[in-house]
Amino acid sequence: MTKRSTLRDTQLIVWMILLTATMVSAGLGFEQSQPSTLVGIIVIAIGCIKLRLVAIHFMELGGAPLGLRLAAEAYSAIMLITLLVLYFAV
Amino acid sequence: MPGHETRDEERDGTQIPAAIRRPAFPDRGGLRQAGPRVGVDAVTASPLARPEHSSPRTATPARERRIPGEAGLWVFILGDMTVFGVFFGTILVMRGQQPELFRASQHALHPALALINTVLLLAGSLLVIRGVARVRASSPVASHFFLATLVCALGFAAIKSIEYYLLVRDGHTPGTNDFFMFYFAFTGIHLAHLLIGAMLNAILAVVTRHPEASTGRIRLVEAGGCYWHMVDGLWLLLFPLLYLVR
Repeated sequence: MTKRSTLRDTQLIVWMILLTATMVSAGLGFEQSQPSTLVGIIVIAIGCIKLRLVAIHFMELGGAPLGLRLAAEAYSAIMLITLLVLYFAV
Repeated sequence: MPGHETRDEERDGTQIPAAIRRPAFPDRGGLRQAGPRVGVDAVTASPLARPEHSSPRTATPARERRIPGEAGLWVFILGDMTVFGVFFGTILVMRGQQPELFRASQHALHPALALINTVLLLAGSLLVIRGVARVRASSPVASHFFLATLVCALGFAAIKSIEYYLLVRDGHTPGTNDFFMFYFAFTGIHLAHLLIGAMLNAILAVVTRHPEASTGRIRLVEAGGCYWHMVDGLWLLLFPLLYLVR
């Protein structure tokens, strides 16, 4: 198996994870009869994780120079922390 | 002018005498080459310019790092994502300040349409990945993947238009309240990004009709692909914040 076909296989697995995570998020969000803090945390966290997966695997930043890769990782982490803080604090 | 001749020859795919060869992109030309950087064969030896079944002699080490697309593109993408980061925070601040208004307004949205749109964007991302891989492999079917992504983009725009129509028909406009002001503004800006992505995919579909795995071609499709993935990634956060977080 070549390096590039391995890359494509990984990307297909990541895509299936993204699709599954989207369905899980939507299922949790749609089913809320009352506002749920736990669901809020889960869907925000899933959203940030999905964003990171897109950046690292689809944009191929996993193989980018360290500065760019760290920028992508930092963005996802900062978004996760900031959004959770705003979700609770405001 | 020797430099000018070199670029023209590279574009035409003809062989360049070793004596006048130089890297077209000296900052990146040898990034994937094994051993010390040698500018002489930076363009012709780059795996970017070769199909994936290139000879073992030029096989690339697994851990070499390079910038997808163009460096300038990433300034734009990171800047754009920072602006959207402010949008995301604004949604949650508004939710915290007016929770009842936020929830009541959310009920007027059409989450099933938004979910379909999410799947369309994800499908587009997979197609773009496949398209970029086909261009790298000099496949003649690469353009089909960008054309299919264009269809996904137009599908997203059509469904978004239907959702806007349903909301306005039910009396929810940007002037109704803060929620709908932010909703129309943020999703509208995202839609504008998506339409730019649609145009880029249309251009890529035309450009890649004839197989060519040149460095310039691969950088172009990578740049277009990264832009599309940015549009996809931003929606992956906009969707839960507007539709799912209560």
